[in-house]
Amino acid sequence: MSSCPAACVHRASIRRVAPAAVVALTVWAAIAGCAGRESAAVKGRARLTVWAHHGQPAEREALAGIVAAFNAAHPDGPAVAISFFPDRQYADKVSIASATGRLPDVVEVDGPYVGPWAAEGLLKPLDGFVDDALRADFLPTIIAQGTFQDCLYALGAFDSALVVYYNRDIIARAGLAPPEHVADAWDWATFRAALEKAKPYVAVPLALHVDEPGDEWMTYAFAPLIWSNGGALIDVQHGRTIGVLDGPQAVAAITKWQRLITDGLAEASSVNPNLFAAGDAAFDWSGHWMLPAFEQTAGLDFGAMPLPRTGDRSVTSAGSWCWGISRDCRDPAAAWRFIAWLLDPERGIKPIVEANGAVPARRSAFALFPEYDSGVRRLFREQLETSARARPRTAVYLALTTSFARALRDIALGADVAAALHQAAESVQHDLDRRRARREAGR
Amino acid sequence: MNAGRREWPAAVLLLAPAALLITLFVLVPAAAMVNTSLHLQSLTAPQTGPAAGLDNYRAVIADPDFRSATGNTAFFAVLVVPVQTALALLLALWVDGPGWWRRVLRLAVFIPTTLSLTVTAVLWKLLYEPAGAAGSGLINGLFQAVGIAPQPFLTSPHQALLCIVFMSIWQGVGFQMMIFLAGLQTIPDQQYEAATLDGAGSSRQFLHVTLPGIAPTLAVVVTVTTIFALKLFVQPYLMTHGGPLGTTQSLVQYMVRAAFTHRDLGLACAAGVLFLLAVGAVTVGQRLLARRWEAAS
Repeated sequence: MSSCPAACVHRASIRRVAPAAVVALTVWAAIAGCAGRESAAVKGRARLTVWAHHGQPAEREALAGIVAAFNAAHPDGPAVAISFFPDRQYADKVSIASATGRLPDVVEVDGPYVGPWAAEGLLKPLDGFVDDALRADFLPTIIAQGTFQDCLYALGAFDSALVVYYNRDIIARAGLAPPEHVADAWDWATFRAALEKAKPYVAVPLALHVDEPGDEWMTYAFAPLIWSNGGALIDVQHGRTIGVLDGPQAVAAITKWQRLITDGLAEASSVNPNLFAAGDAAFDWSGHWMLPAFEQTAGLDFGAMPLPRTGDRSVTSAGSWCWGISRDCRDPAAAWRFIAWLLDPERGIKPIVEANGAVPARRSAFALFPEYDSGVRRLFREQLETSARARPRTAVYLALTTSFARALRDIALGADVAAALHQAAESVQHDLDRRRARREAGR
Repeated sequence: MNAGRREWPAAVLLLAPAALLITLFVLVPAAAMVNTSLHLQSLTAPQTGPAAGLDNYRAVIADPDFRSATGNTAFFAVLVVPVQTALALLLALWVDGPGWWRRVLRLAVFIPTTLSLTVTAVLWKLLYEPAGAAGSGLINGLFQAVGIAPQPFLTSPHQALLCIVFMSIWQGVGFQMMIFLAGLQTIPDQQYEAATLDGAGSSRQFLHVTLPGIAPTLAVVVTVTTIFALKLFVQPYLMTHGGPLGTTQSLVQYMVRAAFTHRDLGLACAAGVLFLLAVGAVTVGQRLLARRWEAAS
């Protein structure tokens, strides 16, 4: 057999490949050229890299505006270069950047990730930058959310609120008078009785959104029932979930929750994610993010009340996105200057909160938002000052929230509460024990 | 010899791209996986963790979640591989030949294969929904209309995995059918004519002409279907989150959870190595059996 055919093929391939390579190079050069385009204000300056999650378009625009204002106001310091990443891939993106040693200077952190990221050494403490006066101006939930093992690692410009919305028309027909203040929150029996009374007037007395695709909603929305009953998801100090997540207080609280569904007082699966706005639910267990949509729904007259209590007092959830300085940041002082700008009531908090509708994180910022003096927003603020709790800051938070959410989904379908919570507790305990082994082996 | 020697530069040149890509994207990551599985490694740590010997493997095997995920995946494969292969062969026999209705059927069975698995998983989740006020599940709606009691489907620990099996067969059967069709068309007509002259009926023709004729195709289809079945991920991830009560959690889901939720890369890699060995063993076993069968027939 002659080598000629192969050689011909080879020459022919080169003839075909060469133009393709030229085209590829041109495209690459064009893309590289686009990526390299920068505004005159930041050209030639040192860079402070910042990563943020995509969020809503308005939120992204507001953040880009804050960055532009910061860069214009600091012509001598490093210029902030912000990159946005899709919400669902954001945490994995940061984890992988950490593994390859390529973290940006400043990272946006979703509240529950403060524990894992601080434990894994991704974040630098902020304590050296935050004095007592500044610390006291933040809502207690924001400080709690950012604190891991007594060090402050993250601060946010806004917080969240979890309430029970109610349809005024339906509760008037049912003869109900929901409480306005945290101290007057209904106990569980009163809450159940209210749902029973509302039942004849609606398709579903209470919307719980149990079929939300993400795991975090389950922990955010329903951990307060366990907290209210004096229980916990995890004993952070002793690294224990067995006997805690499946402890008697947790089992009792979640059993009450399950009965809402099994007794037909709450829906567990609905194709319509917004039964309340459609007027098909009397009560809606939901957050501050639904408020703008409800306000814009024609004909919907609604209010909000604190979560009902399973124990002595009403407890609710808190927490949202916040900012931290990464392990790989070489100029923490410059990074803090930018974070301080983001947390400034006028320059940072006002534009971002106007864009995303969240609750301002600083007491001094409420002066800019008179709407927090009355109505539903007043309850948001009251809860954050008195009854809201950040989710546990622990290295195993992701395992905890996934296992707890999985257990709640099964419980909503009728699984045995104690067995499902025990399975979740065991799964997280397995993780805790593995980490302990890793720590001991590393010593 | 001379010709061979003159050709080797061309051979190297032609092999190089594939060899380079396989080395970069298969061999190097696989070696890294084996190495990581022997260390206590967190997902986010930039440096390699302490050596752990076979500790990760012991932890994986002792983990009840891993054992149930292995059981679920094996159950899925044991159902999907024979049923899907047999159904694909039957469909191929049925639509093999001329006629416009056969072309329409071929297209109808093949269309689900062209859709993204993500899209079909979401669509089937909606189909399996409850009917009536609480939901709009089409299947339960049909059941109601003909007087059958509504079924919990994806929310039942006894039905969820079977629902995923059914949906996966529906989605994948068209592809195997097409491969069988190609195999059937390679059998020369003379063989059937000879068999007819010898007085063989259609069932004997199937056993002694068709089956031996498509033996290599059958071996490929069974191997590919087995590998796809063992890689089960998208359906339980999107349709059930691995629930209810962990009855649909697959091995790949377990690995993703270990790496990205528990952030335990060492454990995830140990599970990955065990998975690779299992898939390799099943595939080699199938090939050996197929070769013996081909030789015998």
